[in-house]
Amino acid sequence: MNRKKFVALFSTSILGAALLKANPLNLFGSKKTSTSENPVIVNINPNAVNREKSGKNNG
Amino acid sequence: MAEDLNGLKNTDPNYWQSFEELYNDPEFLHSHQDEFKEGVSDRLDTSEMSSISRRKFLALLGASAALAGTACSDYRDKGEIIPYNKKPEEITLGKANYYASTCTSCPNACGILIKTREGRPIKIDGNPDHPVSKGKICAQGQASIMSLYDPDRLKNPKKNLDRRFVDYNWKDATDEIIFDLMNAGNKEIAIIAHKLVSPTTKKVLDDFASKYSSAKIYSYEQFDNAVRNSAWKKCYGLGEFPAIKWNEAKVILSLDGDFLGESNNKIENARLFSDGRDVVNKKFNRLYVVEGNMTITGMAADYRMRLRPDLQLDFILSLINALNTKGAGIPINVGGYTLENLSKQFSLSIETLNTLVKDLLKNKGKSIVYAGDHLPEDVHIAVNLLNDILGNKIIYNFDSAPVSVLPLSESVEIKKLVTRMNAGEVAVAIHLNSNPVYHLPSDLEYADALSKVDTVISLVELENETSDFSNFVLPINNQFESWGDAKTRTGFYSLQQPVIAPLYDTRQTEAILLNWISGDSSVYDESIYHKYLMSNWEQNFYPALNSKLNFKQFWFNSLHDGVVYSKDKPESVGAFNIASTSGIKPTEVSNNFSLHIKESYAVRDGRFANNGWLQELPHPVSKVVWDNYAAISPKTANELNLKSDDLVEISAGKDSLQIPVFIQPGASDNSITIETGYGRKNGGTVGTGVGFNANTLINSSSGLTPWLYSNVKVEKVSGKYKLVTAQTVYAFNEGLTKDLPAKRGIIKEGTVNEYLKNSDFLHNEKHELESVNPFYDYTGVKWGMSVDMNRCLGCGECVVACNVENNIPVVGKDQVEMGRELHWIRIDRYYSGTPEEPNVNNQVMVCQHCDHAPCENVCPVVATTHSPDGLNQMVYNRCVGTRYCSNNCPYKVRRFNYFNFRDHFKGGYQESPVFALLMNPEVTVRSRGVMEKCTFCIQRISDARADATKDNRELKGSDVRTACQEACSTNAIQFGDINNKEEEFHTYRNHELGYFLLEELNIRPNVTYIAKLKNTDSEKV
Repeated sequence: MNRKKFVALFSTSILGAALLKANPLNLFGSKKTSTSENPVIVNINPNAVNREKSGKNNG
Repeated sequence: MAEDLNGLKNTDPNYWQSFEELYNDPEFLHSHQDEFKEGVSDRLDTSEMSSISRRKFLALLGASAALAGTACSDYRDKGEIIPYNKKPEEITLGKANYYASTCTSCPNACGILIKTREGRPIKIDGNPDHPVSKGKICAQGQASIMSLYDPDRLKNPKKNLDRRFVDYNWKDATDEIIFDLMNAGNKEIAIIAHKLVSPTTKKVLDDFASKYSSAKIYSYEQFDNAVRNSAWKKCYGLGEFPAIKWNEAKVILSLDGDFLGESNNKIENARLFSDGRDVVNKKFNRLYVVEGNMTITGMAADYRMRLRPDLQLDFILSLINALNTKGAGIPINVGGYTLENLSKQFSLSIETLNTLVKDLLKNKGKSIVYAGDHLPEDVHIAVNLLNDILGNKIIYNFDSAPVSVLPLSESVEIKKLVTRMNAGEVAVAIHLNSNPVYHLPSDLEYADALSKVDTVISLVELENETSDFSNFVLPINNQFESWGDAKTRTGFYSLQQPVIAPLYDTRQTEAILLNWISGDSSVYDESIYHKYLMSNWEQNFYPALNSKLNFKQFWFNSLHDGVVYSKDKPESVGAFNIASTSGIKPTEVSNNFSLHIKESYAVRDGRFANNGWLQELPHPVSKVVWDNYAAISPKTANELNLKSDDLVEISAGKDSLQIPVFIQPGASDNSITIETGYGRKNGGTVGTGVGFNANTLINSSSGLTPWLYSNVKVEKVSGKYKLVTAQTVYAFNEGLTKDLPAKRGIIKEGTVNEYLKNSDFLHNEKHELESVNPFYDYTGVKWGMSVDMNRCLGCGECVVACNVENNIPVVGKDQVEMGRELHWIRIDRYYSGTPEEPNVNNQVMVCQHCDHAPCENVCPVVATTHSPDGLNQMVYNRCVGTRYCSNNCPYKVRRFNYFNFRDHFKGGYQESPVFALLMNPEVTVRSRGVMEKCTFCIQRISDARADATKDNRELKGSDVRTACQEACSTNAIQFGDINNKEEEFHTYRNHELGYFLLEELNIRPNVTYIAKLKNTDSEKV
């Protein structure tokens, strides 16, 4: 490969990476799993009564 | 017998795990030349390498590195972690909370303890204060946590518009349904549910029936004890068949009764039975099993005989005759039935039969005869009579009798309902989390009948075959989001409390019904059923309990314990009604096959089909995963020219099914056994299309019982279907490894007589092993485990518990075929003896945490190390995936993540955001390219150590219970500190029957196996 080809390939790679990073119009989708996108919200039941793990008879 | 090899004597029986191994199948032997299956590690072929030059390669490499560098700046955003602004009082970050509740996955309603972290449940175990489950829960209970976070759960109501389900809202759905209910007129409103165990739910239904006078409630279970109960009523006039005190029986005879494996009271049965298998106190019961197919109970038998299930009446009558000739005085005419004839006709061992007769007579009042639920009523009546005359009634538990909140509907009632549906006399059919389209006998044609009902409603968590035919599909709360109570026995109630608010727009079933009763959709609020439940208890139960606390204190106390003891006593059982035996008539047994349809050990009646952990749980006997099959005997397979995986067509009356066969050692000739719960058409992402639907063979009238058929035809058809077993991947049985399990002492067993004569009989040839490597002196706590093979049933509860605790992903059938299942604990099942009458041993296999672990030396990046307390540790983020450690492990307990299985299985089903909530935050979630294995639950050890440090005391071995130990209902697994002589574990670690696997390698494993003893008359196994 000559210098001209290498520079062309390298520049294309940098532009491609920049395009991926910018992700205009969300073309490439997203695998983020941030809580803001998580459809499920965990709420504690305030009326539940917790306890110790061990039983009354076996300490 | 194999000849001596290198001085090792082989007087032991040969052990084998499959027919391919036993008969040296060439294809099998060839496939085991390499440790990893074909395709797993392809050999390097230089001719297939790329022709690109080095210069070009380096140029491309440079460009790729630049690209990667710019793109990788935002790697793996896992989301934000936000601390509590207002922390709930009971939560300490990093510490678990526990809540007592009741499992409502099945009618056993076992008491459970739910472990939560930061407000979300992550693990289910038994409630130690529950009088029946006593701290244990079945495999389905363990796995049920997955159903809470199942991505397939319905998230909002749906309505069927022009054969398409569209999202709907609660208000409109409720208004329309109330309108339909109000305008039902004289037409019936049918409510179809599974067995009801909740007295408060029953009250809600009674209120519903008061409001809508044409409402009628039907309850069914596909597998129930209706036949057994009917026989009991005929014999004793009232009540239900009682629980059995297995621990008080010295001799047990089981007639096709899988009391250790089938779901009906399995946990209590296993616990009580294992009390009679006590090597510490030298207490041994004797179990005789006469059955048609190998079961969990059969594997535990001391004496086992094969007999078709439709011949069990002949057996019991012959047994009664034999007992009568010895003076038992059982008042029944048994005609020409003799054990000698039976023995000759069906190749039963006459010596064993004579020993059985002798044992029953010698142990009157200390023995029990038990018949399977699927057997005809006449068998149960004969068994009840036999137990009565032999004085074995004392073994029944009359202190805590089963209670039915609502008796199950008889099959004739269900048939009448279908008739009325077909006649257009049913206005509304409401299914309360039930699936009759899948479960009910095929001849009823329930799906067709539903099409003639004006309004069909399904209240379900997941879509199913019945909801496909519904007008409204309403999503209900999961059991961990629900309030409730349960009454299954006299003497106590158990309570159910939600540990998490509903994840989606779902409602509790009872709350929906209360809303319909009110007639106004706007009346609903989330606490409606909670208030109703508390009010019912305050008015109807609390007064009778004479509690010294006021109701609020009593209520919170009861929720804390999970159990409320009551004073109700069972009705006393009178004398045996001898007239009940007058109707006993011989079973018509044909020359064709018998067919026994039983519920699956893993997915039961199909309600757990969408649970990947259960689908991947190896069958306790055959080790088949992800499928069901028709089990047949080797002789029958030979006669029909069948091999495993061949397809057969089974015809029972007008119904037929094509299904692959599995040749099962120990199955009786000319009989077929099929487990149902498979072949679901709408069973979720995981459950749909798995296996074959055996329900098509169930007929409401043509069988001896709904689960047992005689005169069944079996024909080989063309085609094969690959059944995958998780057992044979690591089998070596040629050359130097021939007969390895026997020669290397993998399985050591004996008889009780042998042991009582000479308690050291296992170690007669013991000698000291030298080593060039110095041994580390463990002065503090040193962890070890013991597995009592007398108590291990091979049921798999430990496997599922480990899966839940350690975030083990489901890999799928294709990966299990390549030996890539990720179970950290497995149960190896060994046959010995002949294929017709095999002896079975189950051996739990985990990482042995060897003192001189061969895996530690060979890791090039030191990703596996040894801790000062004796654990073989795994450092996931150092591992580069050479798999050299697994190569070196003689026990093959290391599991490699060939893929990120969460991504790989079912298109990323396990990558769903809600699925992430299932993970135990105390255990790393492993990704691709990393080796993993049993850690002896190091997270629990660390937790216990932190607590001990906080309390300023020494850490004790008994402070830690591993997940497998906690789950095992027979307490076969013990764990603790090897150096602490005061612990119970120390007894097992140093027991005379204890041995280590592959001890000759001198790698010093730390798992002790207690040899299995058979309680037979002779000294031969």
